[in-house]
Formats: sequence, C-alpha cells, structure tokens
Amino acid sequence: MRMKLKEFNRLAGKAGQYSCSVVTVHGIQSRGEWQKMAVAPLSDAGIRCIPVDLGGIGLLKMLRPEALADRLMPRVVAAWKNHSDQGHEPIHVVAHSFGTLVVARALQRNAGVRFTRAIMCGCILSPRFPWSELRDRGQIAHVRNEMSMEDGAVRLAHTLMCRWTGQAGIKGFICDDTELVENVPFNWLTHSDATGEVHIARFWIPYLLGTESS
Amino acid sequence: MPFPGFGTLLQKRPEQSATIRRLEEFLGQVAATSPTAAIEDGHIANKFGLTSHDARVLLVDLMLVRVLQSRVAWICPETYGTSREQAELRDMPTWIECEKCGLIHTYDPEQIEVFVVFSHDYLSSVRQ
Repeated sequence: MRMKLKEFNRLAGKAGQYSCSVVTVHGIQSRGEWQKMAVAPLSDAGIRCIPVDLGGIGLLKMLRPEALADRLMPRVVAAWKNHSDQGHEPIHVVAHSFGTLVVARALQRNAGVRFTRAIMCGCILSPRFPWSELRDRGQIAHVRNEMSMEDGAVRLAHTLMCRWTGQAGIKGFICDDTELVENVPFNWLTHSDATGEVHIARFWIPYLLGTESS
Repeated sequence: MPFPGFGTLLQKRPEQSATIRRLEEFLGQVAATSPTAAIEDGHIANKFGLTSHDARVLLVDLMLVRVLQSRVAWICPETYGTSREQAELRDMPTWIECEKCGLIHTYDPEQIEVFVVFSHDYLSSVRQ
C-alpha cells in the first residue's frame, strides 16, 4: 500500500503520521469554528492538531480577564500533555484573540509546558510581554506575531484590567531578541481574517512545518 | 497463538468477519515467508474481492490494532522514486539532497507517501 499522507491521516486520525503537533486556542464570543475547520488541512499536512474549546466566553466575563484565563489555561495544558505523552514533538501553539492571553498564562504558570513555535493572531498581549523569560525557561523558541492596524478588537485590549494585556496585535512585541519574536504585519486584516483557510494554508502550515521561506 | 489485534478488528468490523479471518490466515503465511514485505493494497483488493479504498481502510485498521506498522517515504518530484524512507514522519528532515535526482528538495507533505509493513509484535507472535 502506498497512499498519500493526507489520505492516510484521514483514516488513521490521531494514530497517523505526523511531523509535529499543534494546540489551537480560540477567543471570546466564539466556539472556535476556525479551529474545527483547520484540523483537516493541518492533519493533511502531517500536523497533529488538538483544538482547545474554551467554551463560549461572553464579553461580561472579560471584566477579570486574568482570572478567567487562569481558570481556562488547564485546558491548554491538557492538550499539550496529550501531544507530549504520545511523543508528538515538537509541539506548537496557535492562539487567537483572548486565546493569546490563555496561552500566555498557561506558559507563565506551568514551567513544564513547552511550545517550540507560537503563532499569535489578533493578539491582546502587552507589547512588553516577557517572551525572553519564557525562552530562558526553555518554554518557547519562536513567536510569530501576525499584526494588523485594522484590528479593532485589539485596539480595545489596553482597556482590559490586566497587567499582561495590550495592543501587541497592532503595535507588535518589543523584544531585543529578533531570533525569538517576529512581528509580521498583515495590513488590512481585521480581527479574525487570519483564521481563514487560505491564510492557514499559505502562512501557518509552512511556519509550523519549518519550511517557510525567509 | 492468535494475535489479539485480529480479535479487536473482528469486534470493530463484524460484517467483514469472513474477510478478516481469511486475511489473518493470509498475513500469517506472508509474515512467515516474507517478514519484511510491504503489504500492497492492490494485492489485498484483488485477493479478497475488495475495492482499493476498502483494502486501504482494512490495512489502516490493521495498523491501528498493531498487526501492521506504518512507514513514510519521501517521493522525488522529479523521478517519482523514493528519495528517503523513515519509520516516523517527525524524523524526516526539512530538506534533502535527493539521491534520485541530485536536486535539493524542501519538505512538502504532498510528496510524502505512507506504506505498511508487519509490526515487530506481530512478527514475534508468528514466530512463536
């Protein structure tokens, strides 16, 4: 039998052949439809995917975003552990909007959790979020921050009552180590445009596989 | 001693019990004489009157119950020969200097094919 990787992984599911794995995390007022959509193309490309469902998060719950993120971050840790226990490393993460804060808190509060590459889109973290400290703890090797000046939701992030939130999704992260953090501008994208199928295929999959052109 | 994976498969696919029992006997014979053979879905389809798709589904099921194990091959886009084989996709490099055409190929999941061989556990049970 010689079958294409895509067909094999569709039949074999989690027991398929994967070159790496990814945890995806959605934002508020969403059940992560993009995550469910992304499982198939990611799996077809040999990326084992676990979409983390944070449940429906209404705007009112964002009055205390750090506490909310801390309550939800065990789901990210569990997904990471699922990949790790099965030996599917390297493990990457893709987070959108409020999901970026949940991932950040998962890393800050669980020193054993390690993601090799992270894609942040619609990122509501502070531009001064301490990625270098997480790198020094061996928890992250590279962050790709997809930014857009048109992201209206990120524009409001600095109003959140949380020391870790801000407008990194518009202004970029401030980090001396350019090998650690890459701010990638995608002008004109609105808050959720980066989670579309074409964008995932063109940019996320090559990045996660490590085959993106420099 | 029957390998437990076939029992699991019979429970999963009771409507194919006759085919699975014949397949168990056939694979036992092949494993005894050609333990390193790759199992071809076309041969299974022809021998047991299955469609190619159904044969592949059964072979993947046999992989899931550990009778078989998968291996991956990087197919050269120029010559369509096998540039490299690995037991695990994660062991494939992100680029290779192709032994078939001499060119540099960057990893592309579209160039990866999967095939199945007997698992170590199954071969051990056949030898007992």
